[in-house]
Amino acid sequence: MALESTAPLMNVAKRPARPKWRRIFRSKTALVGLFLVSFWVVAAVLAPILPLQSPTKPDVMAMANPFPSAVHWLGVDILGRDILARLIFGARTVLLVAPLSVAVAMIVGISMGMVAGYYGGRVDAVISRFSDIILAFPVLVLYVVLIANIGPSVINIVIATTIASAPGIGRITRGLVLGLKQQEYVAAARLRAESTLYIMLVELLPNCRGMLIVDGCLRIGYTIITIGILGFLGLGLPPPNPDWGGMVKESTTVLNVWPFMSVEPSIAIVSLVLGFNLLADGLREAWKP
Amino acid sequence: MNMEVRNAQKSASQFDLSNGTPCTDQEPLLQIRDLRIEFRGQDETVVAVPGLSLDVMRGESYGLVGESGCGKSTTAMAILGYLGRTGAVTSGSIRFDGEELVGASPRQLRKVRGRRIAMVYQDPMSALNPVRTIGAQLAEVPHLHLGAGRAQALEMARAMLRDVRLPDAGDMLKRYPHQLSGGQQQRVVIAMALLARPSLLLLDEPTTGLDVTVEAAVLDLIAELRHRYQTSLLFISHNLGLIAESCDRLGIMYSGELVEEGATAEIFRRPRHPYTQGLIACIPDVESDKHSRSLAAIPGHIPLPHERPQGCLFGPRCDGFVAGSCDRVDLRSDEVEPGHQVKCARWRDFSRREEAAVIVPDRDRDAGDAICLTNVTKLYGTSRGRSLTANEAVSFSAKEGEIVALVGESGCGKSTLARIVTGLDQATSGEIRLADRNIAELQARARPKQLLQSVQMIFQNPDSTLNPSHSAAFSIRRSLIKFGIRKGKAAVDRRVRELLEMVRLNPDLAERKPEQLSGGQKQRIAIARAFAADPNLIVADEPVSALDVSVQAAVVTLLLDIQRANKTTMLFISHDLALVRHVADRVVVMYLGKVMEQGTVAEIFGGAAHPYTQALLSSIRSTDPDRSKAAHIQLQGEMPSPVDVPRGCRFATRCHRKLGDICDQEAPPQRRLSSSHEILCHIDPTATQTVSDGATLPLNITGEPAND
Amino acid sequence: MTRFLCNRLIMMMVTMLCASFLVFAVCEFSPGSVARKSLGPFATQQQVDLLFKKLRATDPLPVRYSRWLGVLLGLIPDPLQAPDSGLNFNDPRGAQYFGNFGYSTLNKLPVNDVIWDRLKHTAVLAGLAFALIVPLSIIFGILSGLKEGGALDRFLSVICVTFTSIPEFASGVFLVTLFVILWPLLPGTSQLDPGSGWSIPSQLVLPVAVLVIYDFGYVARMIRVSMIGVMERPFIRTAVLKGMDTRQVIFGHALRNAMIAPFTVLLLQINFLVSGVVVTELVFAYPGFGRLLLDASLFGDIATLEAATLVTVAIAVTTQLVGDLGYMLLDPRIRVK
Repeated sequence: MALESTAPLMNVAKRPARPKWRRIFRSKTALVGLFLVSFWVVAAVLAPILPLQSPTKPDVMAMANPFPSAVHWLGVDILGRDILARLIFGARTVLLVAPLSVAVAMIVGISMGMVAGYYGGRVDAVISRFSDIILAFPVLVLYVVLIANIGPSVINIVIATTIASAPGIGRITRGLVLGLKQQEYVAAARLRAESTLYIMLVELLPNCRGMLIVDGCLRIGYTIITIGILGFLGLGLPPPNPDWGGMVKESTTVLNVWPFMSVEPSIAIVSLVLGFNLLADGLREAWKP
Repeated sequence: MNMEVRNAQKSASQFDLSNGTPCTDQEPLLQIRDLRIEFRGQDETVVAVPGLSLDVMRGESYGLVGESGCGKSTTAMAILGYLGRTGAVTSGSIRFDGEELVGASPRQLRKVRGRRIAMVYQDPMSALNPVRTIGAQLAEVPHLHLGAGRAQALEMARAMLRDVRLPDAGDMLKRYPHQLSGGQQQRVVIAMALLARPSLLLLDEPTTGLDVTVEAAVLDLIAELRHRYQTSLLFISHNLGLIAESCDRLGIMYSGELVEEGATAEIFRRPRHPYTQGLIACIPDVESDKHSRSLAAIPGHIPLPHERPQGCLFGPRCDGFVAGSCDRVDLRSDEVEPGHQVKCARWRDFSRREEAAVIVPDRDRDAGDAICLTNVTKLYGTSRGRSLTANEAVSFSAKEGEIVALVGESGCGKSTLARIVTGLDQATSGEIRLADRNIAELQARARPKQLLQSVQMIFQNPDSTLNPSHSAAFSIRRSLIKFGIRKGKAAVDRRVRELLEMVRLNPDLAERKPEQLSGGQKQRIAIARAFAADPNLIVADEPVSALDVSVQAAVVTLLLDIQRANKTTMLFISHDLALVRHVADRVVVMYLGKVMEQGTVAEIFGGAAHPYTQALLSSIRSTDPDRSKAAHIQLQGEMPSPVDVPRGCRFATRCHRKLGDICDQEAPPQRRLSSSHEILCHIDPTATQTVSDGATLPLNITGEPAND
Repeated sequence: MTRFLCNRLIMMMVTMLCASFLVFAVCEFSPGSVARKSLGPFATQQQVDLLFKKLRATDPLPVRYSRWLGVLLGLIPDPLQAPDSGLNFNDPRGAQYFGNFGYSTLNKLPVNDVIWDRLKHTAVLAGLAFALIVPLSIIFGILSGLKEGGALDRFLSVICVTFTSIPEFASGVFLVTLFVILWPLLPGTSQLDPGSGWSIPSQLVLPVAVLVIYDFGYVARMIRVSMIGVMERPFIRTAVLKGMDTRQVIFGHALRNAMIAPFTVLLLQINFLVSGVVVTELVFAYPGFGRLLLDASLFGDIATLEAATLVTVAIAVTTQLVGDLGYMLLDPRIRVK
């Protein structure tokens, strides 16, 4: 095998670029990820009109033989509720809470990083020290301490995610801004009397887009895992909502008899997380400069 | 590119065989025949080099010249069998010392690489491994190829470092690359290349990015070592001036093809191909200024590999293009005289180009000062209470409509000064008078809109001057709106079109994204943006240094035209003295934050009095083969750190005309040689010759007297 | 260098102080009181109020925090251990000594009696996992980064991204189903009890596997990205064109550069392993530190929670420091002059 790199010769093959977002269709990784994510999104959106069993009403008859059947495609859980319906309705919560928490965390984190990177100096030192303290805090401890003390609810998960993720997002943004603010177009904007806010939002932010979208995808995947873990620890969303982590937890007691009850929700989580991770990888690959 | 054209080019290049070999009985060291290099992308194949043939004789120095993207570096990489995973030689042969290198096994290639063919790279800093010592990296070569033991290899490395004249070789071996200056790093890379005594040395733009005085020293070193080690050179460069002095024979490459080849002196005296003629015409040379000669730009741009025309690749940019003869598929090289080939159907019809019309001086001698700097000082605080002196007591002024050039090597503080004038940074002390205000300590944020509008800037780097997220015209439009130059969307759009037309761009480019524009186009947009605000003063910080020579000439000519039409005052910052001579009315030479000499163009280029200016001038490589052999002034050592500047004269540590202790101990006095000519030096120029004997400068004063 | 170390040590102290204060502050939001959580749902309100008062939980936040800090540093005796408090808290080490973490209301034992054994158990688990994660991720990362987009890279990348997408409880479920239920090779619980019929090493296999599966892919991906970046750098070209073969280039020039950026990521995994093992410990009923932390936070056992948080934060800041020092060792460009 010969060691080779393409880097020094790329300029030869430089062509006018096609729109960035369309390039993801050339990456198989991104396509698989997109498929997995859209599968769950479509299922979740269509849940009320799909011919599903009730996710909450137990089918007492099925409890005797909970295995997958023609009526219950994926079987029923220990309380006799249809697993397929619970998975699909569970996806609704996950797909709402995870992106929402990440979005809020992104807004806070990007603002922190933008301010720290652009102003530098003392402002940067304060924000960075503060982030360091949060980041030294082990993430899961942060979640558990927060949720155990303020109780599980959508808002609280959003708050916990924001506190846990914003410093990391801020650090990425800060790094990008430190490089970008040296660019000559930023100097040009200053010389035509643009306000600082305008420079941040119009000149800097669009150029951080790619990295932040990729990071956001990864974080959504990670937040889905965290929500699952919280459910598994018994800190998930309160009962009427089907919760994937909670479903695994409930059925671990019968794992040696009916393992499918735990395995099925586990697979659901893995597939959705994998979807977001592949999407992130694919985007990174497609947007590589 | 369609198949037909590709085949056509292939068959065309086959004809090269018949007359590609020069008439010598000696077997060439390197023989390239009909080389075709392709890069396979995901859904397309790019032909980087369609068919190239050349020979490098033993002991010869062969120069391969061309602009970026012409395939010269790719050719060098192909010789070493290093084309990446996507690249491949699809036909042709590369014979080195009788051995075929195309299709050689990795094992065979390893025996050639570094041992018999070595390479010197463009950017020495990145060519060296940052985490290993110089010694370890050098010792690898004898260890690998000569079977030397560790101690022996290190000893050889030490001896080689002495040969490339690095001070304190023993200490140098223990250092890391980042602890060396750019010039020292390049010497290390050269030492590394020569350690195994290769018979062929590939030099890929070895001095691009180095300061002029360092460049001169590196070139002299290469010339000396070449003779000592009897190494043949394949010298790749975009700079014709460099090549003129360093090479015996030249090949001019254009879009992957050799368009002309011959002895260096012959090519410079009688260039036959219109592209060669254009290249020579667009290089600013130090013997003429803008009043005696204007730069002739080549219209258009180099075709990308997929848009190569049929027949002559230069056809679309050539004035003498004749359909039916220039676009014939079987166009081939023709022999002008033995050893001089040209690939042009009509070379007999071309004489050397007419020089373009010169700019008539129409200077208003009574103009007032547009900007006046007095004792501007800029200190940056560094850790532990020390300070870095970027500028110290800089004073000069520019009259209205005048172009003042700030010249100096990197680290001389010229860019900091530009940032202070525009308000991107603030001075520590001193005064900058502009329109009856002191703006020295006013940052852009604190400046009123009107003041911001009157000072605009053209930046250096075409890749970062436009925001990649917005359209090309975005910032022009914002400028028009912010400064209220035009009101209403229609009026703004009309003005944007006018401005684009002013910089000779098709207004349809306005909505393109910067990544779809070439470097020259981006720089034109940046010029349009600067002029959009109707400024009185433009600060241009190395506006063309990142562009190819043919594009550079076009952009400079354009900038001068617009400046003259608008009577804008301009501070033109550059490290390129020849270019400065073409652009400026007055010149300010800076070194380590201080002004060493200032005067009119005629005074500086005709009678430079400061030793530093003289050294700078002598480092310029002339394209005229008859004048090029003048000895260069070799500066000793490196520029001192701006953190601890020398106590006496800044330049004393490197000065070749140092008087003695006085230079080290006492700050030099300011000497006035005329009302416009000043130097900062202990040497009294009225007492000595203006130019030292060692460096006879091509004096060619254009006869224009100093101002007043 | 000493200056740098001093600065860092001061920063570490400040970080730990802030973190411990943060724990107190967050516990303020606790809807159920500490006393209620310790006594259980069936205690009367009177009992709860009494305990609440005895614990001096009615004092304002800064007072309680400084009291905790004073006890920890051995400046004041722990008031809760006073015989007249009626709590029957009794630490054999005495009431006043440096490092007194107080009394765990949940375990009814001095925190120092509870926490260190648990930490030892977790250290075994984490140490084994780390010892596997480091070589595995380096091999995977380097091999796939060598030739970006090649067949090997695609194959290894798919493995890595899939593994990182499996949360620990899910891989726990999968592994238990496979190796305990369908093919009974290993124990389903790991209580570190020698009398359970399974040897201690066999009890460790599944928990370690769960941790490695979740974590190594992430690190391998970091190393891969770094390796790809390094392989595109011009000095690799210099090495190849010197005539070196692939092995010489990788070991002589690429490896050390490729490890610079992921080095800190690698060390960060120690933090994750110490506190993030909660789920694994829960799945396998492993008596570790993570579960202690979880229980303490669920039951508002603030003394244990503070102690455990302080330990994890201390580990985090120490690995950060070690990371920075290692960084300097690897990369001569950032060495302090």
